[in-house]
Amino acid sequence: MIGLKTLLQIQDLHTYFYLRKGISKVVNGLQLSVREGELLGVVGESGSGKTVTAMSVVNRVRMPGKVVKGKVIYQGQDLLKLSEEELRKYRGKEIGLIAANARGNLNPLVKVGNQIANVYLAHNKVNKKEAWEKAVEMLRMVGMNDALRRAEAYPHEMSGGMAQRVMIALALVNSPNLLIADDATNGLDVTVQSQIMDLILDIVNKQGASGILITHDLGVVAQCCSEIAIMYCGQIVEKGPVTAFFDEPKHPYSRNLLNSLPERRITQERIELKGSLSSPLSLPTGCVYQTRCPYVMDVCRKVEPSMLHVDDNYNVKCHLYQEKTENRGSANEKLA
Amino acid sequence: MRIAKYLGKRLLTFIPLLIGVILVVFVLVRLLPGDPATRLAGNFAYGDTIAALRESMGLDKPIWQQFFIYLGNVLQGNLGESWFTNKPILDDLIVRFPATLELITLSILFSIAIGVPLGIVAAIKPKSIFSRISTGYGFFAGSIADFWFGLMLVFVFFTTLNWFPAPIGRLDLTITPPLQITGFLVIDSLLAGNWNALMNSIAHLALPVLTLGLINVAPIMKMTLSSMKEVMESDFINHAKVLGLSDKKVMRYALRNSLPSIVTILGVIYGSLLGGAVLVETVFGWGGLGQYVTQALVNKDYSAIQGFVLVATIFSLFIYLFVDLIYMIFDPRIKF
Ligand SMILES: Nc1ncnc2c1ncn2[C@@H]1O[C@H](COP(=O)(O)OP(=O)(O)O)[C@@H](O)[C@H]1O
Ligand SMILES: [Mg+2]
Repeated sequence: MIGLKTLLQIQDLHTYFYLRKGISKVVNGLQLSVREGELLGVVGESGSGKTVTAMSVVNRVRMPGKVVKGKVIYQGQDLLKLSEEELRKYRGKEIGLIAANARGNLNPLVKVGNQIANVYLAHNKVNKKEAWEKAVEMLRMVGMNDALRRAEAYPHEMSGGMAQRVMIALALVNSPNLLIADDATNGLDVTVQSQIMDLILDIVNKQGASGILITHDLGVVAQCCSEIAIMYCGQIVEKGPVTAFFDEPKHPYSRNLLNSLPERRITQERIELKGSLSSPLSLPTGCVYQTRCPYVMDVCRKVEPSMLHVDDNYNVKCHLYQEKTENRGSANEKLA
Repeated sequence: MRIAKYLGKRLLTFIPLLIGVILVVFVLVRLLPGDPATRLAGNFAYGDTIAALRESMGLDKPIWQQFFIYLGNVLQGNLGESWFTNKPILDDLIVRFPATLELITLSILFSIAIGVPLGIVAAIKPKSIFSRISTGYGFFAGSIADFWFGLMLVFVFFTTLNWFPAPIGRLDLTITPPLQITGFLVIDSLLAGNWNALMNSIAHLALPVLTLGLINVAPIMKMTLSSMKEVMESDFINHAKVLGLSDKKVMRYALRNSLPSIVTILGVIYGSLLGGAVLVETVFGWGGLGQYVTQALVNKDYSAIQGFVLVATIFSLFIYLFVDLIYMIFDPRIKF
């Protein structure tokens, strides 16, 4: 299934918000890549910059935010170099994005069928009637029984779960090659959550698309994804195959995450850890995790660790493994 | 059926509102300096004459008694008689109403035709020279007095250039007015095929309409701009861009979603114009309600002032009601 070709490569991405109280460095040199056919789970605490990263990929960060540096290379093309008009051909066509909060992201005054049809019309040479039929077909595909009637409804006439399905239909109507689901099941009932998750997975599999699944839920990643990336303060601190990760997470933060789950059981609970993320307004020099890390060393306060290659397809951004690569064994002893 | 019920409820709320307005105006006019009986009797009247006059005018009774007598009359549809013309006030108001209505209706249409497009352009292209000029104009028009503006127009276009007829009334005295059907001279002349009256009434309307119209462009433009801006910053517009909708479509969404609030501000301005055109009517000798109430104020013709305020209030209330009904059509979330 998973090819060797890289579909999306994010290099050294920096996205800042220019606020009155200062520059909020929300994304700080983020590195991430997704191969064709791969389903990557991105996990991080609330506020770690997951949504801003997703928006940066399509270069649609909202004011006063701005991508200030980096590359987002999609099929060889750096999206950040494109004009708005050129980018439009990628947005919603090559890259489909499902956002949380369907209520706020759907136009309250336009029938959902028309909203889907408009996204279809934006990228296909079809007439309105064909677009409408496509919209109805999409609603059927995302599991609405009376799709014809639903297409005529306004968002406020739908339940949260139904509205979220509309969001999925919007993201998938042009069969994108890359689907980004940003907290797509947030705020829904647990049963609805798993239905929506199944739906996304089903469609991704059928369409042979790649996906980035942004979530709070390690359990979902364990079940559905092939790769996992752990996000902290706007950086990916660990990335690798899911099985390897759950066998033995490397980064102290990842260990903390897993240990926070009772008896390492993976549940649907939200991640809640002691202490808090460093404020993006005043990030420490060196490693972003130093304020919470039990293994913090002098070097962590001075030098930012680089993304170390520790195993096949496995990367970790931690000084402990710097030593390990130089002086094998010692890191594991320390962590034990 | 639901509409009927809603209308019934709304109309019921008018009653306490109107009684409150009647009471406040009733008290306020009596706080005006000067005594109407003295004014009516003339400068050389004897004290006895004035006392007798006061009695016949009902001014000798305690004020609360006067109020209830007046309220009782109003509830029976009797607004009293003018102390100066001896005609029923309702008749006076009905005769003058169409003149004012024609003036303010054409003025608001003029303001809409200019203000709404300007506001849209200013919202879409905030940096264009065009939008800067219109913002500057909004500031200018919002800060000058309408009657002064009217006087300036009269000075330039009548006194100096003599392009328009003298600012006295709605038609030259030499022109035979058309048969009154709607009370709008422009429409009645058209219906009667009376071209002289049509051209002449338009010439008379031009300057006062320009005065009120240009003044009201400012708030309409500002409100259009701010509601468009607010909508364009909303999540669903951002998501529409994330999905790759064209600029044109995004603009159409933005316009569609600002329409309800634009209609509301238009209604508020229109509803307040009946009373707000008083000074402009005086400048142009319009012979409408505004001029009538100015005269009534000079004469301390209590019932006439009260009658005018009552009519102006009822007019506003009905406009607001109408606007709310339109709002419901534009916004499917609002239900009766
Ligand atoms: N419009 C904005 N203005 C200022 N700060 C923002 C804005 N949007 C997001 N941020 C900041 O970016 C950080 C990460 O936000 P977000 O990407 O939404 O986190 P996550 O999705 O991981 O929960 C937060 O600290 C938040 O305060
Ligand atoms: Mg988020």
